[in-house]
Amino acid sequence: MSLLVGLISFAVLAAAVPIVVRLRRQRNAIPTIIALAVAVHVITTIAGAVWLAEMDYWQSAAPYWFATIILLYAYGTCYRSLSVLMLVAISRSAVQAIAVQSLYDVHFKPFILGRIDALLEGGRAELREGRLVLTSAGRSDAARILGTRRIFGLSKNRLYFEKKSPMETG
Amino acid sequence: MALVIIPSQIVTASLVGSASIPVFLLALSRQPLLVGDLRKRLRLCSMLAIALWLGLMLSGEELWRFDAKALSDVAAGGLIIMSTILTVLIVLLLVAAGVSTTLLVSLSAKPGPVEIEPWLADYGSGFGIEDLFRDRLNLLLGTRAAALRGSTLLLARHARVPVAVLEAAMVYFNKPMGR
Repeated sequence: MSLLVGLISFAVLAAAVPIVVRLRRQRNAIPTIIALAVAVHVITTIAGAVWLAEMDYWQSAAPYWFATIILLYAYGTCYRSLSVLMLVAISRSAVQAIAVQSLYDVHFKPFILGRIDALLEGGRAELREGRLVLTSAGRSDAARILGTRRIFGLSKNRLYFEKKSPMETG
Repeated sequence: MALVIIPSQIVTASLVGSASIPVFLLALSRQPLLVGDLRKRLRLCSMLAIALWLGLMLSGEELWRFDAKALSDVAAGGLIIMSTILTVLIVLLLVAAGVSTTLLVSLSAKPGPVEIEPWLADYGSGFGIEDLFRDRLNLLLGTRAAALRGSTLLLARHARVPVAVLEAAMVYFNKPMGR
């Protein structure tokens, strides 16, 4: 029964997420979803403990957080994955085909510029006379990322392939 | 009202297994145990953590009762360890390969303000936005999600269902493309 409480809790969260993200209208709703997930977890855990004669917290929490992490991963994929955004752009174009140059100019580059906007909106960077510069918050975030990369040996860049054009290689 | 918060042996074993993931990851990120390939490193790290969980669980008494409580605890323990593996995977991918994190780190290496266009052309010290585009294009072609005909990119027939699922997810999350 405790597992069931966890599953019901997730159903509550899954129903609440689309409402909350529409009300908050944020570029990145991950902090909001996490806060909502914690709130739903606390409320449903208390409700489950009242409802059941004996509720095992871990049996309830495990399926709830597992499903919540998958939900966050799905959100991140919709929000951040460049390959996914490219694929959806192709799908939405007429006859589900798009010129490569058009994909770059109309979709890909604006995706990247959107990331820069996110840095500006998040206070990580600012524009000075049309030029981009990091703020102190951005610098400390960058230092944290670099530190983590150093600790876990992640310093190489992450292109999946060699720098070659599929147009040239066929 | 009765809320049992103290974890059973089986769940405790999964919490220990979960806590071991960053430790294994650290060990495999450095000599002499270094595993260079990030995917292999994560896979090995996950396998070691699961092995630790199974070892601790099998050496305890609770599992051998084979009652409903023990089986539910095994399911909960498995989900706990899988949740941790997924969390580590997400965070690691974000730190290692995230576009925004790479842009941030690149910008931090610049002594002063930069012009956006020239910086984007070489933001990765050797690669820029066009290389990134070609890279993701190669990824789509390599996974056969899309095909190239001349200079036109076509959505592969078998990618239509996954793309429809992604579009539904975008509606669910109220995420118009790229916003």
